Amino acid sequence: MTQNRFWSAVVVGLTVVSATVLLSQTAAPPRTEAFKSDEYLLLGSPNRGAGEPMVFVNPKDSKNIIVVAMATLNHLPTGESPVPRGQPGTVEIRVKELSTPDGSRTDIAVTHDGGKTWEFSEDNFRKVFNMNRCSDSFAGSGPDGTLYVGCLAYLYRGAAAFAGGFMPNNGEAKNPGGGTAIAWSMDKGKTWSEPKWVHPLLSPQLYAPGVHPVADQVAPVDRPYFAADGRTGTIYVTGTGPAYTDDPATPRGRTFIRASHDQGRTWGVIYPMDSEDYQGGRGGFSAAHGFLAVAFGATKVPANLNAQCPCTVFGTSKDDGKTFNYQLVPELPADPAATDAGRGGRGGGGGGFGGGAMLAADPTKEGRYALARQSRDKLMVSLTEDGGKTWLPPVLAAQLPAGATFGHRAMKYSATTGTLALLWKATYADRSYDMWSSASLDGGRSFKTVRVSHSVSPPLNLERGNFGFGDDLATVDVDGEYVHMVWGDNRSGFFGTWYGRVPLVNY
Amino acid sequence: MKHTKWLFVGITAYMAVFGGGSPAYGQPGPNNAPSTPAPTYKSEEYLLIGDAIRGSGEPIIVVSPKNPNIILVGAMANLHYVEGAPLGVGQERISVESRVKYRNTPGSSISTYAITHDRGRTWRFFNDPFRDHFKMNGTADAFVGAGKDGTLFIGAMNFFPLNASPEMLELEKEPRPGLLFGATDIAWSIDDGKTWSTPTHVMGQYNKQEDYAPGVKPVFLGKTPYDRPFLITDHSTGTIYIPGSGSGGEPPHGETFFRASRDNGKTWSPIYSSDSLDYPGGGGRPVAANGVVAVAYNASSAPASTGAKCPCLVFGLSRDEGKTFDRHIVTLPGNGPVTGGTLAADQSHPGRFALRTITARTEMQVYLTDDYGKTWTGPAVAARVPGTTIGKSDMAYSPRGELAVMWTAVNPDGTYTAWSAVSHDGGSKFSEPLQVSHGTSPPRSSIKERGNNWDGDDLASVTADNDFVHIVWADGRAGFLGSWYGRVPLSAY
Repeated sequence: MTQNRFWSAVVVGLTVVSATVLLSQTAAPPRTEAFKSDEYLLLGSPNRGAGEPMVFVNPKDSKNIIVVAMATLNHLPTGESPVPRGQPGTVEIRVKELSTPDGSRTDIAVTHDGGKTWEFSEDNFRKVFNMNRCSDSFAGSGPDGTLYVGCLAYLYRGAAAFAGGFMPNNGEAKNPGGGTAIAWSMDKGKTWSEPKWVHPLLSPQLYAPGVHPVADQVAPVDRPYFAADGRTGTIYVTGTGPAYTDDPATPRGRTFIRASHDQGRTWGVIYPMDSEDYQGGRGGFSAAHGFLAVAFGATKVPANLNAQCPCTVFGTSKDDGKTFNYQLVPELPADPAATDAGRGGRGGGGGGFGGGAMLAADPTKEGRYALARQSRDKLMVSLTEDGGKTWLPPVLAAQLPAGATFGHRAMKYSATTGTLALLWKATYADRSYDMWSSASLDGGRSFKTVRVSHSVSPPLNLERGNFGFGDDLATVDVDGEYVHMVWGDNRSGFFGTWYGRVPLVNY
Repeated sequence: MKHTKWLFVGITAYMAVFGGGSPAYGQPGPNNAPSTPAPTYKSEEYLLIGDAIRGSGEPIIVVSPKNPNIILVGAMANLHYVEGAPLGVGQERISVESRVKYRNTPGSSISTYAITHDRGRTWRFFNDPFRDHFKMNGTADAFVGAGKDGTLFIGAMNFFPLNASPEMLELEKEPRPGLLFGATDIAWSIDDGKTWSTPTHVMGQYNKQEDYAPGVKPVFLGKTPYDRPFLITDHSTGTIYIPGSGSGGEPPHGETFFRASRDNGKTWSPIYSSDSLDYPGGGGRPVAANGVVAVAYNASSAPASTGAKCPCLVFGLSRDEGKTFDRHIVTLPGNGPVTGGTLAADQSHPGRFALRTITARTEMQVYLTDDYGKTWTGPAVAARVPGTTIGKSDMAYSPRGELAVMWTAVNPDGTYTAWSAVSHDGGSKFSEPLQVSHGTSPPRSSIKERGNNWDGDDLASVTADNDFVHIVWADGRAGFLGSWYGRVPLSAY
């Protein structure tokens, strides 16, 4: 192409596009000060990082927001840096790290003025339970305005947990002790109750008959998530790990759910999300209008359904997960995301967060659920208005820039308005990344996108990278005015938790 | 078909040039993926002080002369938001009423210090003890220093009394401003920062005329004589110096005052001024090395016998810790500026001082003297980034005489990056500039609501040991104004 022709073409193109821009009144590219989001570092420091954060807005007071994150020392107290995985010394340094009291804790940020100011604190679980760590932090909020904070409180103080040995592949203690625990606040996060166990390790008697969890490191309580039913007040906390039914030699990865009807004081039987007829690993869950809803990628469903699996299964329960009514969800028309939906591992997400199928129940409309699945570089949302009997054709909710891949994803309905919000991470070839959001103001039928990050995060710097752990998820919540998002980010020179929000009017 | 093809090419080209960064509604947005590999940096950098509710700015850094693993940083840390003290609109600063409310809110402005004993791998953070000890509302203009023997110092301007009387509050409202009832306070540590002494005053509004040296005529208003203190150490004698700005002289003008201590802050000399009646002028933060104190400042007039046309640049040298100065007009080589300039003293080379000037806001030039200011060479271009202006800047010698400079390169839209350069020969020739910050800070105006209360961003600083250049500056990349630390190996320059 000659230069003249090129610039002539540019002029023509410019004219056409400019006219289009003017006619449609589309905004010009944002300058530095024209971002639609507000974002900043919320948790973390050069000494201690903060990752896999969770955010919840108090449904009784949208200016009351809680954020928690897994905050791990960037270096050991004796000075050592983490060793990259797979290199000599990885396991030894991991054992030393896990033996360090308070090496990883839960940091808490609470605002009472919509984010204008925040109060910072840390968990007391380690002290109460005499454990080294309070990892895999989670938060929650109940319909009565109760706030929750929880974590995987584990590893007997000091090196005691390693008396029984450790796993040679990753350095995790074979018998760490502890489990998932929760505390609540009746005063919007000013004070907290003593923590209470939800999923204690080595407690097979708590599980439903026929469900035999395998005690393996932190299984079956790994990576808890929280959900609350706005109508009944029931709260749910999940955990994952292998379990078997009959043959101990053939366990499969499963997600377990435990419900409380009294704001965490007492807890029911622990049930799996899947069943023997509908077998699956991990997936999303949500709760509203008296229903506990789950969605997961199934490897097996009843033969009479004539389904080709892996396939997407949606289930609802009215008895805290004791029994489910499972149904198949129509697969995406092209590039079905079944492989992703059925993905396991720590990076997989339950509770509508992280990877895999994401499920959200609309607290403002009974029977409405949104299910997000990945189709290559897109997130497609399928909607049901009748509790899963029928599903509307999937719509595009998010699309990656070319060459990028999806990182963390999250989806949630507003407790008060029915707005559906998504958050996702776009990871580029050099492992840098940025965060994006989309929201649907019509309950999940159409979406608009707003970039959340004002610039790209560099890849993880292991020297100040939360000791190389604690970046399994990012989360979103939405109230009547804003979409609120939290994620791990390296732009401050260390891996910290960033908070961002976008006014709904920008979607 | 042919036209359509070219139209498509044109639109594509236009969008490639002008379309970035704006997510179109209803679409996932443009490709913001880096089109080229991320640059590699020779620096290490990270946010050190500041968070989402309390910012941090105008940081100062020092390395212990006895142990380079010990680094101390002090910064001015203000609540981003103070109830009842709204920020001004647009470029307007806060109103007098808001300022008085802000300054009389306990803890709204404090000094935060960070200390490391492992060369920056981990840090310990603590806040100033001065407010509690002297019952003041706030501190500002934090500073740090290190004595010849390794004693560490923290300090700040401590002002606005708790429980101020109505009379005090009225005086604080005066536009000059009025009496703020403050002082420069310090504390020291003789155990590498583990514990700190009881705070003590250096100088402030409590000082009477008899505390000043003969001939010094302070104006007893405003922040005289304690605004923006620093701590300077003569590593040959161990004498420390603390300057402060204010106003004084005849007629009154901006003036720099300072005090010397030979016993690490326990007792102090009379309060001197950098200027004199026959060479009056503002500025002139002292530097000290090898038994002498030097100042450089702009004089508004000079004795007729000098034949100088003023304003003019004056260099003053004292061999009695500031009691008397030998001052003269500086004639710089080439087309050097006749005014302006900040000094650095080379502890390793008696008689060597570097004078830094900023030319047309775009270039830092350094002049050098090896004979106590009698003659000057240069200039050497120390800092320049095309397309940018120089914001904050600083200069410091390493113990073995390498001269490090830092500056912020400000883009036309107000965004900025931090840079540094080094002269391995003491100031005659500088390395290529190295970018210290790995990203571009947004302009302060875009983080106004988390901008350290639109206060506390008057300077950045640099120091150097024999291995690294250490730089601290205020940066908004974390979504709020915080103090960032960066370091670059000397071998990288």
